Parts: sequence; C-alpha cells; structure tokens
Amino acid sequence: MNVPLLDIRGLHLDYNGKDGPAHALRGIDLTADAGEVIGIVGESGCGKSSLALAMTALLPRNAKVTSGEVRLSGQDILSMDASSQRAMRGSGVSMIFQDPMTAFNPVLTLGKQLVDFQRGTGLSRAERRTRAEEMLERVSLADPVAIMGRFVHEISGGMRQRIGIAAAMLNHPKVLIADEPTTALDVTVEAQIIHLLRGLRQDHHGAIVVITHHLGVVGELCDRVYVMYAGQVVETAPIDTLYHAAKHPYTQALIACDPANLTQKTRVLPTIAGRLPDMRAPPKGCSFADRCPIAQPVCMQVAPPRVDLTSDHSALCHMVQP
Amino acid sequence: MRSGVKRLTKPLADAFAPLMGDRMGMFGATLVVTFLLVAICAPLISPYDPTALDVTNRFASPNWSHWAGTDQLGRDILSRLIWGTRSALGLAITSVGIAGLIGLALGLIAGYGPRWLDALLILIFDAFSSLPMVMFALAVITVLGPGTGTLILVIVLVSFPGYGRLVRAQTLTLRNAEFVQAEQVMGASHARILFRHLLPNVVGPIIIVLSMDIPVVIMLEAGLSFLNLGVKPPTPSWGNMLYDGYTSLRQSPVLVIAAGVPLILITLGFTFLGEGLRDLLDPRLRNRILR
Amino acid sequence: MTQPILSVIDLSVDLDLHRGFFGKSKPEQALNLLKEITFDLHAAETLGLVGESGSGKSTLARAIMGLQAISSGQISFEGHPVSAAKISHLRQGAAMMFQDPIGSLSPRMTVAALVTEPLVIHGQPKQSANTLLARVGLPPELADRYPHQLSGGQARRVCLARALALGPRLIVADEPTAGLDVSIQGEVLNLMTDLKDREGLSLLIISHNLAMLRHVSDRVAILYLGRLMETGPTEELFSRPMHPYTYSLIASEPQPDPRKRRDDLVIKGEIPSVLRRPSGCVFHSRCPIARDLCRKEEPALREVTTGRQVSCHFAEDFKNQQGERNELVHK
Repeated sequence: MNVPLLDIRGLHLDYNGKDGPAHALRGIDLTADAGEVIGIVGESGCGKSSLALAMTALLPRNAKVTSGEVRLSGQDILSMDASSQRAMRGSGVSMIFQDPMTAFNPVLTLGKQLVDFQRGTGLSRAERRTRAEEMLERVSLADPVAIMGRFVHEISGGMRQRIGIAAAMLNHPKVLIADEPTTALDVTVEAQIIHLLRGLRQDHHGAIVVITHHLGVVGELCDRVYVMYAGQVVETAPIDTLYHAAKHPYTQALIACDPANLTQKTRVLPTIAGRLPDMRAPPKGCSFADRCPIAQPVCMQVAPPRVDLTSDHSALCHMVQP
Repeated sequence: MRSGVKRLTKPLADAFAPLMGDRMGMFGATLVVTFLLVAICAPLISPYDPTALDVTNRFASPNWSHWAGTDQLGRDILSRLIWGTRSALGLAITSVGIAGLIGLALGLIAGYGPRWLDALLILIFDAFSSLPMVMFALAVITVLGPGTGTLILVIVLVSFPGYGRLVRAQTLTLRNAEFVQAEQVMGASHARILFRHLLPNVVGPIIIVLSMDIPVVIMLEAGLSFLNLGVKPPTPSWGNMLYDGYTSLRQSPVLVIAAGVPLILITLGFTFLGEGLRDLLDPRLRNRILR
Repeated sequence: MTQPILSVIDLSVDLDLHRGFFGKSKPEQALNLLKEITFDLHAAETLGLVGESGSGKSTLARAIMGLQAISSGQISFEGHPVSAAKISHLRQGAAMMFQDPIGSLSPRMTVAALVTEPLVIHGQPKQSANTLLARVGLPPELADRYPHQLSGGQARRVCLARALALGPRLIVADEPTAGLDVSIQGEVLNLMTDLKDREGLSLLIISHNLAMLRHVSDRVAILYLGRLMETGPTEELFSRPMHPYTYSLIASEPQPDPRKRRDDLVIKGEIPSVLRRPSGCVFHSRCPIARDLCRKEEPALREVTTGRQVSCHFAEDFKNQQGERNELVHK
C-alpha cells in the first residue's frame, strides 16, 4: 500500500482570541494520492483557509495545533523545525493563490522572482532561467522570454494566474494546493485556467488540492471531494457520487442552492436558513443540527459518527445509513 | 444638539475604551490627565502664591514646608511648578487646538472642493510650512514683543499647514469611498457629506498628531522662555524656571532639576498617549474605510 | 406600450485622460468607457446586466444614477430627462445598492441612522428605523451596531433597507451577491423579488453571475468592452443565445455536474484592455465566427427577432449554426 502523498490525521486547530480560543478545525482527516485531484469545498467560516495554511505550515502565530498531524510523504510537517519546513515548501508542497496580483512582488520582474523561487535546487542561474521559461511555455503563455522581463502589473489577470501556476510548479511539488484559483477571474478566463489545470495533470505526478467555495470549479476539476462545515469534514466522496448521490443534508442543501443546478427557473432561490455556530463554543451535538431539515433530538445532543457508506464515501451524520 | 455632540464624542469614547488594554497608552493617558487636573486645579492645590517673595528663605532645599524648596527669590518652587503647568498646557492646547481646527477646515475644503481651490490651498500650505519655526518665532517676537499671544500666533501659523495636509490626504482618499458615493446618490448636500460623513472619519489621525505635537509646543515655549522671549515673568513657566535655575546653578541645583522633571514627564505622557491612540485608531480606520 | 421607467438612449461615457489645470482634455485623449448604450426598463421588471471586467457595467450603473458624467446620449427616468442639473426627481425615485455593502455604509454611523438617512436628507417625516429594518427581515437589535460589526449578508440587507426608505420605483443593484456564500445569496435576492412583486419595483441588477441572473431577471443585457452585445428575455437568451459572446459566456461557466465536463475551450484569448480596444466589432479578436467585415466595421445593435437585439453582423448565421452545436448551454 502506497503511503499517500498528503495525509492529514485528526487535525485540531485553535485560534487564540480575546474571548477564548476559536476552534477552527475540529478533527480533519484527509488524504491525497499521487495523480489525484482533491477538492475541498465549503463556505466562509468552514475552516478551509486554515486548512490550506496548515498544509503549508504557514500558520499565523495565534494559531495552535492542539492535536493531529499533517503528513507529507509520511513526515509530519507541523512538528518539523522551521528550516526543514522552509526546505519543504516549493518542492514538497506549493501553492497557487487566489489573487495573483498580490502573490508577486510588485517591484521585481517576474523573471527574477521565478528564478529566485528555485533557490534551493542547486541549479545555476542559467539553468533556473531556462526552467522558468519552459514552465511559462507549459502554461500556454506566448513569448515567455518577454514575460520574464515584465512586472506583475503590466500583464493581464489571466496571464498572472498562469504565471502563478507556473511558479507553483517550478520545483515539481509533491502536493500542489490551489486556493480559490479562479475566484478573482472573469468567467471566460476562469474556463481557461480550469482547462489549464486539467492539462497539468498529465505532467504533474503529485497530488493537486483545490480549495474553493465554487461547486462548479470542483465539478470541473476534481476526482474526490471533501465538504467542510464548521471546521469538520461532513462528507467525502468521489465527485460523481457527491453530485448525484450526496447523503449529508448540508451537501444536499449546498448543491440545491447553487443556481446553476436549478432546472426550472424559480423566482425564489433556495437558501439555508440560520448561521454558522460560534466556533468558540461549538455545539456538543451536530454542528449543522440547527439548520438541518431532518434533524432529530439525538442530533442536538450527541456528536454525529462518521458513517462509511461505501469504501470511498463517508458522511458525518446520525441520519445516514450505509 | 446634544445628540450631535454625542455623535462626535461617541466614536472618540469608543476609541479610548480599548486604550485600557494598552499599558503604555494608559500610562501616558494617566500622566496627561494628571497634568490637566493639576493645571485646572492650580489655585486649589498650590500651597503658596507662586509670586510671593520671601527673600530671607532663598534656595531652600526641599523640606516639609516647601516640598520642592524655594528659588532665588524665595518663591515656593512647587507652587510655581503647579502654576507653570497652567501656562504650559494652556498655551500648548490653545495653539495646537486652533492650528488643528484651521488645518481641519482647510484640509477638508482642499480635499473635497474644486481643483483650483485645492491648488490654491496647497500653495498656502507650502508657503507657511517653509517657515522654520524657531527663527520665525524669534522674528515675530522681535516685531510684536514677547508674550503668550505672540507665541500662539506663531505656533498656529507654523503648524496649521501640516495638519491641513494630513486632513487633505485623508479627505482625498475618502471622497471616492463608496459610502460617500452612496450619500451622493441619496442626494445628500455637500455640506452634509463634509460634516456628517467626512469630518468624523478624518478627525482620528489628526488627533494623534495633535497630541504628539503638544509636548513639542511645550518645549518650544520652554525654550523661548529660557531665552526670556516667552511668557513674561513673574508668570511662572517651566522655561523661566529653567533659566533661573541655570543662572543660579552654583547656589542650588534644585531649581533646574525641579523645572526639568515636569517637562520630561509631560513629553513622555503625551507621546505615549499619542502612540497608544495611533495603534488604536489607525488599523481600525484602515480596516473600516480604506479598501 | 406603457412608458418605461428608465430609458437609456445612445449613452456614451468617456474618461478624460489628461486633465490640465482648468480645462478638459482633447477628444483624442479621452478613454471611451461606454458607447451608445440603448435599453429600456419597464415597471415591475428586472433587467440583468451582465459583463466581465472592462465591460463598463459599473460605469453604466453610476452614469444612470448621476455619479458619473456622461459624454453624450440621454437618460430618462419616468419620462423626465435626467441631467446633472435636473436630478432631484431621480434622487427621490431611484436608489442604488453598491458592490461593497460594508464600504457603502458610513463607518461612524449606526445602522439606525444609516437606514433613516434618506428620509433626513429629503426632509421626510421620520419613520422608525426598526420598521425599515423589519421590511428586510433584520431584528431591531442591529439598530445600534456599526457597519464593521455586521456580516456581509446583514450589511447588504441594511443597504437594501436604506434603498427602500423613500419608497423608490427603481433600484440599481451592483453585484448584489458578490462575496456572499451560495447558501445566503437567496436571502437578499428573494427579498428584492418579493418587494418587486408586492410594490411594482423595477430592478436593474448588475452581475457577472449568469446562473443567478437567469433565475432572477425578466430580461438580460450583455455588455462587452463598453458595448451592448445582446439583449432579450432571459429564458430565450439563455437557451438560444444569438451573439457568439453570449454563447461563450454561458458555455464557459464551470459546471458542478462532473458528467457535463467539456474538453474543449469555447473561447480563447483574454479580454482586451480598454486602452487597446479592437477595431470594428470589439469582440472580433476572440470570436469563433469572426470574418473580415468584423475587423473593419462595428455592428449596430439591431432587432433580429421580436424583443431580441443583437450587435453582430452575422447573428442570423450564428443562430442557424447552433442547431449543430450539441454541447450547448446548460439545460
């Protein structure tokens, strides 16, 4: 059995705050194997951004991992010392950011930055330049040499994100994390970036993790999906199963609310009533119980179990049956 | 009217409340409040008349009847320090306050009004801020004679451009903010936008700068008084006292030290307060308004 | 045909690039943001305005509401022409909701003061803030809060409450669902639709979110680089788009259903910068059916079938070709 490239076990994360710690992640289990594209989907406050930071060991100072591990090829990156973590970034795990404009230094040329990003590789400057130019070509940018000499504000949004992808791929990371990769882009450009990310699967032999709130992006790109709510994974399944046979009420509601799914034109758009629980004092029962259409008394009182519906589909719910 | 005052002060009160958590800021605030109280209550707490002479008791070391001793004319040092607080703070707060108000008004107009008016006001700001403060002070004093009034005039003329520019910069940024556009879409008059929406939001940074400038003005006054160009004796002023102490250093060091201590303390107090306010007001403003 | 509530005729907006101390710039130095936009909005109708970056949709909203000077053309509200001098009728009858809900609320005012602000400005009798908040489903406890203490969804509802304060006949909403989670987008939109039905309100909704507009709008207008590409009733436009750009937009939307994945790219290239607008038809550089004429001559907005206006030289050809395209728009 291969060791999964990315293996998150029982991750619990708190943020220290004035009124007590906020429990942002409450027991996350997640794996990604080589060649897979995983989706992590959730709305604001679900904890997906914290998870992204944990995966790159870039947690802020007020964040505290109370238990659990984030294993990259078997090694827990959270317990490494700072220099090992630094070495791991870029070649172990790398990230494509939501806003490509601010992901780059505005006063350095793109070429200089792409060359700098390869600093730990031991290649000569010339070799690094060549590799950068090749990567720019791989992301379908015409005239890579000219782009190396430009600044980030001189190029368009779609090109910027392509360069962001190229930068993330430079050191052949084992795990490539894409954090809301298309949220800041126009629809027509979004389609191109999705197309590009799909094409990269051929070359990229590691795992790709796509974090987003957009079900459409997940539907287009991912093999398996984790649905997050209030710091927990409430359901995980292959994308087809998730879309056509979701079992967790939150997943079902989320899919139902997406206007792209509504077959008939409806004047009243569905919503999920209620609010997220206060993460400083999450409910002792199911976090979704107060907004759930099928909640029973047991849901309010007892934390839901993780029910394995099939070998690759599980949900955190009292009301589902395998 | 009351609700109007409350509207302006509530955000200030909101701003001050979290100051409680910042120890340096609290320390500064405590010092400043103490000095203010001393200045206000001077007649009540001053043990002696600060101008009362007692030539038989000159240069007394601190003792039970004169806690800080007496100066070269037998006057009680402590009482002079207490009354000196009045002249220091009175002058500083008045001049900085007036300069601040002028700067606020002109800055708002420059930032919000037509471009030609803005250009004109910037010209005025540049002209006045090119005057070196101390030199200008000396020149004016030569013409108009020393005294509190002259000092206030000088300080106002030299400081208002700085405040004006600060307010103008803030106003320029905010005038394109979405909430201002929202007000315009609702049909709000320019006056309403200026007073009700822009003013409360630009006042924050200027308060910080004003509070940091008060010790500067106090030092200026002390310096000028040291040169006998400031507050006229026998009105007690720390600067005067420093001069007196300096000239009579050989007889007794007490006067110099005594006059120096409140200067240092008040500078510390306002600086810490200003920095505490800056930490409070700036990031919240930035998060709230600027996108 | 009853008079439209809002009538925009040949509206053009240019931006002065080089401003001297006093004067305006020469015509060649002006940047064109919108050109000859023409459309109507009727009572109790929702018009969705779709566009990507550079389309000019926000500029159009601002121009209609008098925040942006127009260079030529005419705007009429309820039959009265609107200009910088004669704008009070518009100010009383139309309201706007801005893209950034928290940023469009004056930071140092309480919610109660904010929602009653229009009444104060226009000297109308004071209504209770709680009543206004209740209309948008907000509890009275929020009345003493400040904008930065509200969530995105709450702030949007406060903006809506404020927009409704004077009883407007038209609300222009700029990206009303941007930044909102899918599960609460409906909250604001359903409110607006409900009010529209009950009070005959007209809505002009600007968005890049096609899927949302498909459900909420009666008619849709598509903007690209400052030009109107197509207008028409929503359902018809979505199921049978006549302009290649409309088709590309609809087909580019990422599909949540994995069985509907498409392998090819419907549209290539990026949106040109407004500083370097393509000649002739502005879309020709990315258009799948572009021909020589498209490079040279800009097409006019014309009525191809009833109620459907398209700005394309070859709209009829495109319409006929669509039968052959099997990977068409969703559903």
